[in-house]
Amino acid sequence: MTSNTVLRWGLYGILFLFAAFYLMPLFVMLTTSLKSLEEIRTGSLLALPREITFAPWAEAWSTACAGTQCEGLRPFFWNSVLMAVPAVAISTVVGALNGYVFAQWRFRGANLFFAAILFGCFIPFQVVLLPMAQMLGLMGIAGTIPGLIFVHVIYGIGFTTLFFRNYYVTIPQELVRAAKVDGAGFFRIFWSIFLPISLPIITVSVIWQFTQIWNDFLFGVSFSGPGSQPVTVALNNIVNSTTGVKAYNVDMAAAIIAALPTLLVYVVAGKYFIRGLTAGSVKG
Amino acid sequence: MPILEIDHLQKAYGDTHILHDINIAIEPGDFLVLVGPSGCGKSTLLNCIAGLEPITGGTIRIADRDVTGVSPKDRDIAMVFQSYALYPTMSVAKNITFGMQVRGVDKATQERKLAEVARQLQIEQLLNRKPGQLSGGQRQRVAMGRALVRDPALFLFDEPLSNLDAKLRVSMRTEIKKLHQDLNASIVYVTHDQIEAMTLATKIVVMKGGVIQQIGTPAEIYNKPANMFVADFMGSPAMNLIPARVRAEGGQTRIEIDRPGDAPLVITDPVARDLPAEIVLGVRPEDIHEATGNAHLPGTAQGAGGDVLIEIVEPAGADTFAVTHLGGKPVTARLRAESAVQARKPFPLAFDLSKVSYFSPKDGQRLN
Repeated sequence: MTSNTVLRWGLYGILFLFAAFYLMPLFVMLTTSLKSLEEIRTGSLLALPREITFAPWAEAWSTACAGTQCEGLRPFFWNSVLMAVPAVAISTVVGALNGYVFAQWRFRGANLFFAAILFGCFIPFQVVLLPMAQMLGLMGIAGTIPGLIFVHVIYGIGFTTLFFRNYYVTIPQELVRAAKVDGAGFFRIFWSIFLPISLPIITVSVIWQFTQIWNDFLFGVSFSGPGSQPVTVALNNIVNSTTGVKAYNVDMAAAIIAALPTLLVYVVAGKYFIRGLTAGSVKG
Repeated sequence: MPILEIDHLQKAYGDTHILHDINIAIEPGDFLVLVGPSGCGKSTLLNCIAGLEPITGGTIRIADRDVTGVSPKDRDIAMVFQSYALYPTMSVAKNITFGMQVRGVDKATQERKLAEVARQLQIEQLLNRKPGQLSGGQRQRVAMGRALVRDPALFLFDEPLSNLDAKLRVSMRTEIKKLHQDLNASIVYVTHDQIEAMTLATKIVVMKGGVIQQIGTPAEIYNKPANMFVADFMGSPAMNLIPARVRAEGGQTRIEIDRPGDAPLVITDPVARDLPAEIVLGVRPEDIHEATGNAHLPGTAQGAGGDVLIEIVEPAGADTFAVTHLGGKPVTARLRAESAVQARKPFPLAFDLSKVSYFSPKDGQRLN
């Protein structure tokens, strides 16, 4: 064996160790969620379930108690869907238009505007909680799903604008000029020329926004009412409101259910995510 | 009626003036070439004509209509861009018909015009391809097709050949010239390549620093450059610009040029001229001939030359270039290929004084 192959195997070994270390919590979650409470109490944390049971999953989905409401995660899961899908769509569309303007329709003071929007990406959530609550109250959408959509759209525009602007800035200005001479206007050029080449960056924007919005807890817990809590808040309540024996298996199943949609998005679109993130640099 | 008339055009970004008092008029069928070094404002001027850049002052008229504040789409122009600017997701056919589609031209007309242009440019077999699958020359054709199909009053070309390799550039140049002749189209064409300007234009505008240096036919620009910049910029190898002293002598003009290691070379222009004491003599390499004893070449007068020390000889196939040093400047003569000229030996050269230019060394302006 040459020293090269030794190195190679060593490398694989280390990578395998890291991967195992990283996947350990997921493994524990999965196995625990498939064990009965009895088995959890008597067995080891790392052991595979002796007898697989899906009862904890069913309970987490439809009967677990979050506070006084014992309907499982289901209603909150749909709240999250109703919140995340429009918020992702709106912030992506607005970001695309913003980025298109910043990259291709430069106007006086555009740099200042862009800097201001970028600044929005770095404002911590906590800072805006109180003014946002006031704002939502004034608009009459406090404690509702539209209110949450509004908050997430506002907070997401900074990022989506940045994505699209950096993508469109690599596209030569002559393309817009040619289209102008051809007779196309602002929206026609966007629709016919820019949108068709945007799939990679749309994917990036959708994954990023969906992950952010679906996983958000702070806005969800601050701005939701009893009927509009997203799944992350409900998960917290389920885990915290068990009385007597702690149902670890139900908690684990609930946590996995809450995380499934973001996992799904990565599996479906992850390939484009990597491609989109590097698209600008490759074209150079 | 001029097809394009630019009157006192000014262009400035804040306090930075890009174009100064531009006045140009061309007739239908003219091929106007804007030429100059990079940064001279020629592309900006083209964009002003297209309406892609707003202008600070003056007016632009296209086909006898004031278009100064009119948007590009309503100027009755079509443009070919340096990078071709083909729409990457559309097929060649879509690229060519996009303009018509936007303008709501009916499908049958679109199809007919597409077929016409495709045949004219010989790109019929490419119509279903995407721009990414085309070679540079093919993209160039598609970009021209997109302009041709519109049948506008005025075509604008922004350095369309600069991204092609040397050989393709020459053949596309010929094709553009042929296209111009066949269609009798009115064209404004920007290039930094003076050979392109000479071969294509019916009218040339030489620009530098946002100021027009000279407007004229290729022959005028070449033979009677208005100043030393134009003289130096147009022509390859460039015109020789030789510092010299002038003495008027009995109805003749005596011109003295310093010659290294020898007495000054004195040549005699038989015409009395009103010249200052110090001048710059401009003479094209092909207007310096081998002085052959008594047999005068056409246009050369007796005493229009003398022996000079040749430094370098560069045979170039059809011609032989001989480089010497006069008035402190290298001077190139274009001689016959079979010339007996040798490096590091004196050789008799004569200037064709009927074709020389005299410039003022102070402001570089033409004196004769």
